[in-house]
Amino acid sequence: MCYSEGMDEMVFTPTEFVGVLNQTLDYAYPVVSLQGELANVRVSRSKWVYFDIKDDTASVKCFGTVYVLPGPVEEGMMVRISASPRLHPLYNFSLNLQSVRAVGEGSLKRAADLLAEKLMKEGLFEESRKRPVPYAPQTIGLITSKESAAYHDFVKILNERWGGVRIIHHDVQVQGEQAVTDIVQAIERLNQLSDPEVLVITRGGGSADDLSAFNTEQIVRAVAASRIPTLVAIGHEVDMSLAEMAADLRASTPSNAAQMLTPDKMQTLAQLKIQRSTLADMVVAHVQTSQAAIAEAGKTMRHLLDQAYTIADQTFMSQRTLLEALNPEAALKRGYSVIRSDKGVIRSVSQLTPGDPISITLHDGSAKATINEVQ
Amino acid sequence: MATKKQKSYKELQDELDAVLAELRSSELDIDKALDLYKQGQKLISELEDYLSHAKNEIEQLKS
Repeated sequence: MCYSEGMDEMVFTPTEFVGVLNQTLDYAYPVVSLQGELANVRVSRSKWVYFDIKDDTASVKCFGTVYVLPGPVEEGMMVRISASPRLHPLYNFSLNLQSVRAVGEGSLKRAADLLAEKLMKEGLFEESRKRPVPYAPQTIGLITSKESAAYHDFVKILNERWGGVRIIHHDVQVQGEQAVTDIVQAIERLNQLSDPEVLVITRGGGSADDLSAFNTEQIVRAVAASRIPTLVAIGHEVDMSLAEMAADLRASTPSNAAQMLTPDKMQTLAQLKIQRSTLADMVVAHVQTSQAAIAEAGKTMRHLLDQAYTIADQTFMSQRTLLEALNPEAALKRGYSVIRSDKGVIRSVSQLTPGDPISITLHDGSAKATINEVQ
Repeated sequence: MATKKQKSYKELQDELDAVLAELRSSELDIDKALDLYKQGQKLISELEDYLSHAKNEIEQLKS
């Protein structure tokens, strides 16, 4: 830098001027927000984006990486950008983009439609990608604003319905400049933990502009890429957001998300009561089965005993008949008699000699006699 | 002495389901059935206790 001869005028080299101007801009306007219409959109090597932001009378050049875009953008779309003003040593003035988001219902809808079309082609919303979300999980990763009604509703309903759950809450902005970065970081951070079984990303209803973060490519991709299954619940007043379409499960409200994840403990207690009586019934059934088996065994035993008695009785009767047939009394009654001498029962005449005293037994008495003659 | 780890609701519920399934089998002697009945009653009491007393915990992740 030098001063011109005889004058109090500063003379810069172009390099110096660029440096001084950038310093001044950095001091006065480190970051500016502009809202306007997109024109001359150009993407280079899928990495850099160039466009103009304009209104009826002015147009400003902007430059940044494609990662700052909310998704595909096109000419005529209304956007709000955050950027740092910079004078480039070679390429003149431009705004270096930090964030870009669509504004106004028409542009938001158009941006969401373009993104939906792109991601649909990639299969990001396919049913086959959806994983089951665990019911009654032990640990939940919760992504929402701590100050929001959504946070309080979710926790309140969860407390009413179920117990023993560990909620790991990551506080985030759910709308405005910071929302996209916050939510993407929260998803990534919770994914580094081993405990959460499900990620709940939620906020209450709002205007299309309030909810626009949930239609950005960054959040939709982060939801789809989550290792942990996701449940996204965005207020029910508007159409479904793309983040909900990419989630494994969607709920209509924060309260609904808590309901979908947990059983109702009052209902479960009633079911347990039923299970208690079912348990008793099943044991009674087993006891009855055993009792029936015992009764059956008794019956069989009685039957076998009866059979044994009958057989014994029949045997006894036949033996008695035989015994009776063999009784000598019967022969005596028929007229036979028994002759005995002092040598015992006489079975042959050779045992007798004349003069032997004998006794004759008949059925009704006995008589004494002497042998007169043996022939 | 190490304290006994508190069982989760799911673990208790799985155990109860197993007890009920075993009780449903018809070939079971009465001693085993009564034993399972006692186990089932105990598990139901533990589940009821869990539902009546377990509180949710919130942990704030520092950003």
